[in-house]
Amino acid sequence: MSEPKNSGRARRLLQIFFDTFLVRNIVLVKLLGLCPIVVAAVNLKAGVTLTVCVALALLPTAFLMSLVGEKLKPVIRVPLYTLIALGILLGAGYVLGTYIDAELYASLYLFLPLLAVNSLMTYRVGGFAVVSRPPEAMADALGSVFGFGVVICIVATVREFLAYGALWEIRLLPHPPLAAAASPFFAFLMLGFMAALSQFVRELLRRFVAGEVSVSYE
Amino acid sequence: MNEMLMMLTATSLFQNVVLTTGFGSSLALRVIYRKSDVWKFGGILSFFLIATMAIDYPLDHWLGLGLEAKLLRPLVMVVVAMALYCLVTVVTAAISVPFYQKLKPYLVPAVFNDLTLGLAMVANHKVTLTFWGTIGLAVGSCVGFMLVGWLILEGRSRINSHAVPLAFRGAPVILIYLGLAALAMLGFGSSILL
Repeated sequence: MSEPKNSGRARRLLQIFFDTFLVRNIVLVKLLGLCPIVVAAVNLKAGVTLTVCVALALLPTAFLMSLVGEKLKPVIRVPLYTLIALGILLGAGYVLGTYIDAELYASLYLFLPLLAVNSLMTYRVGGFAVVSRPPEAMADALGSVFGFGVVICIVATVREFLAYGALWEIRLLPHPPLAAAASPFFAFLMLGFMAALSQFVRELLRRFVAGEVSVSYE
Repeated sequence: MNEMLMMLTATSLFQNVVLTTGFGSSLALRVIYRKSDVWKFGGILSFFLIATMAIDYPLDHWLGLGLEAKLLRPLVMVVVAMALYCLVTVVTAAISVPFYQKLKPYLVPAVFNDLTLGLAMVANHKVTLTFWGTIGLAVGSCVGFMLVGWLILEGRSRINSHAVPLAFRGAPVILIYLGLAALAMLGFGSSILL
């Protein structure tokens, strides 16, 4: 009797995860977390660092808010999760600057604390996690991290290659093909085309599942 | 006064803060769906942004430039924003519950967003400004945000048509539209470094 219940619950959690990660990607469909992608994601190192920092801030705060969020008044809840996220991010920044890469920390100094008040935090922690149980909140938070991470890393990789002719700060081309790729407009355009591709694939899959499109083996 | 006017004009028009830094881009896309949203949300955001930056300015100078200041600066700025949020919530709920209920959906996004904190960080980190320059930066950014909000609103009504391929309808074409607007801003680059 408990097996179908458990498999139903696991299916629900996977559904939430893949919904936020792929089907209705947190960045390309829900338009959350645009600022760090547009401005800070100019190289892959920055993209990966920001993804790790989002994970460090989002996962514990989403879990905590799913446990106690509804019991707290909004006037206390919002400042609480913002402060916790900021504390984690400042700690991560200190570790990054002191032990890992001081130059990378200097380039991300402005953007790390901003993750605490980013729309990702406001809408996923303050919106979804608060009204969900811990497993659902964690599934959504993980999906958000992966969804954000994939998009920021793709944008960062393309921009670094075009703007600097490099990847992970390893020079691949003698001259950068398109220096303007480091500008915010390029990120907006890339995100637009990625969102279109995601929408196209989603529509194709929907039609395939509905039987409107079939694969021919002739 | 010159610095204030210069920052106001730059951040609202020639180097629109949303299009050149991305600050508040998610906010503008998620919150603004009607003309009234531009003014209502823009007004509330303006109050919190200007108040936060006006209070942060002397505190930031008091913090100084040391290593501890670098770590404490964002914390101080968020605490100031939080204090303003708590104060406005408590005061408006005490004065008029119906008014507070109307304000409530806009409060959290208006206070806790990367535009408010991002500009406070930029004002004291990347650009050295006087107090009135900081106010000019804040006011100009609010005007710039409302301008982008209005652009998004106008764009949405015109771009979301059947002439646009299905894959591009909605979020994709709006992002491309913002990208082209940001490209236009590139022409004014280096007028103010943000």
